[in-house]
Amino acid sequence: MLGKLIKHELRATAHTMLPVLGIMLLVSALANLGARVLNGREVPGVVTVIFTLVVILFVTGLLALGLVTVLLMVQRFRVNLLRDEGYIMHTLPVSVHAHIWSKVIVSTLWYALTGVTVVLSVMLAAMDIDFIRSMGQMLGDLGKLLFEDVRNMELLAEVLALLVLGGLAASLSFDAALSIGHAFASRKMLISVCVFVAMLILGQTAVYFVSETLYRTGLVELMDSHLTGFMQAWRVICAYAAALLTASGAICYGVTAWFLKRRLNLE
Amino acid sequence: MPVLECKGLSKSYGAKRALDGVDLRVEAGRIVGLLGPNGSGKTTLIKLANGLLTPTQGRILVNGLEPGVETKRAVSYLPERACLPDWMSARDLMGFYGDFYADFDRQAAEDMLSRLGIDLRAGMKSLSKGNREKVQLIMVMARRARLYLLDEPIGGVDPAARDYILNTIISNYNPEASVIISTHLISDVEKVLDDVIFINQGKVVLAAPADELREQQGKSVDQIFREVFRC
Amino acid sequence: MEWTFEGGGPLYAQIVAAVKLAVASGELKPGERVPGVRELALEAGVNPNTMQRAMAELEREGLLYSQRTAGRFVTEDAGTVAAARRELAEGYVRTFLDAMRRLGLEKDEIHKLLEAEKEEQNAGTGM
Repeated sequence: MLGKLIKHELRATAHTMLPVLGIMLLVSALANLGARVLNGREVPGVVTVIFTLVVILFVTGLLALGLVTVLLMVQRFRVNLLRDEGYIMHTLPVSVHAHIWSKVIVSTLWYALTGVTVVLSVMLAAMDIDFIRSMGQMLGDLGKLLFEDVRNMELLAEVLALLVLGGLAASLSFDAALSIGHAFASRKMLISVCVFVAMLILGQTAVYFVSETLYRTGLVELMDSHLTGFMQAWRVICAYAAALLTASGAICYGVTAWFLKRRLNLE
Repeated sequence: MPVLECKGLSKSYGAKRALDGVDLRVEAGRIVGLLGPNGSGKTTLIKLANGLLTPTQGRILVNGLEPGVETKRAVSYLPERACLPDWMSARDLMGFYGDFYADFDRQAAEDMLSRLGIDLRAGMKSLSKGNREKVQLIMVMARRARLYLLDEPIGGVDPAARDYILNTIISNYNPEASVIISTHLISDVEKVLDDVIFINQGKVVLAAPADELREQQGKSVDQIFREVFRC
Repeated sequence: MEWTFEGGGPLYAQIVAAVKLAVASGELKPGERVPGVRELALEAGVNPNTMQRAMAELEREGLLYSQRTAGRFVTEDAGTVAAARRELAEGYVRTFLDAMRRLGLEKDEIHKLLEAEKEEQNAGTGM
């Protein structure tokens, strides 16, 4: 059933996400065109205004895209599971766990695609012959670097795994805050936000204590010493980050599942 | 085995008791009216049967099981308010219900939709409120479920729509299944009911076959209701 | 058939009475096939269980009979139809007399009224 839920979740979210990401790419392409047109040529004022606006749109879009995705995913969870549509979703022969996983997996996928879109947008906006040439070279070098040493491959895999874990943990924290806030009879959204802020403070505190401990173990000196030392320190930091993300994710998961199962309060 | 059974079922919201020691049995093949004024506990009882709420005390059993994934396979639920996602078309919805419910009869759904002349590709957004409600009823009644829970299906609809809804319920009747209709509009539904359950302030006041009540008291269920719930 | 229901009294009994009237008045002909329970239930807007119960009662009284595969039919026995007609007519007469008595009319007054009404109707149709 998880597969079917994910399928429907993808369809429902693609409905809003694909246009958002598509428009971002389109604006990037236009910004590219704008930069060329505006670059040292004599053009009518209207054209200048239009393309300046496009470039501004591109910059703000790039900065806001992540936030937009987060807000859309938060809204999706809320509308689909905690408001009217919840009457349909929570009476499907599907466990609460499948519901949470489908939401979290699909959200994380969109966070990843948003990241990819940001990179693509920058590339698209900066694209010209020189750029493509240097890009090709860079990719070649990167490939060489990766295949040169298996440790580099591992490093990349670790970073990606950490990013995925981060996406899952972030989604779960939003879902947990929403599930708690919507268990109340009124001011559901306000309470959700307050809960989320409280969770952030808790999370920051945990991060603070962990990094304090790491600092005292002399990790910073290790980092400064030499390359192998840096790698060792990096590994330790990654491990701690992964542990923190997993712990927070697990707690948020438990909270979300309990509130959806026991404290569902649809209007 | 009864399709729905409640034993000493209570539900409180904070200090407020929405249901108070309800004992009930609904057997297969019955169309049952869950009748009571607004706020009497009808919706709470239906939500408990659906697993949307958990009991504070006592037990509720569907096909002998506590509400969960297994019972949800056998229960078809029409919520009080229309809640279909407005970007979905009737065809999307049939795909959705067909994916999640093995007992969804797509042919039956298509027949009912085409009789209403609903464009299968049109999003719910573009349909009138009345048609959206009918589409949701069709999705619910096109399942071959064991228990249908219809929460206020005729609240706020015009007489023609009301006839359509009641006819849809009758024509999908199945002797293996039970239908529970919650409403406060007694005179509109009483002809289709086998049994009636009067509920007031969270308690079952009366539960009996409708014809038996009419015979014993020489009055319609509507009249009896008015007497029981006189303010 | 037109289906109208009154407030009190079991629905199945009201259905039995309506079908009996239809048979007695000839609206349903002897040997005529009666639609299925589900169809009739839809037509009357009642629960199929109620309709089933009424049909069973009508069969028990001999006004309808069912053949396993072909369905349900109106009795072809003229005696049964006549008995139903008589039973209904007696019922109407009883209701009528009850009403008259409640108005305080005596037997011969009722007779006179009936005669007068009959003449008036004859005059009306005789033109």
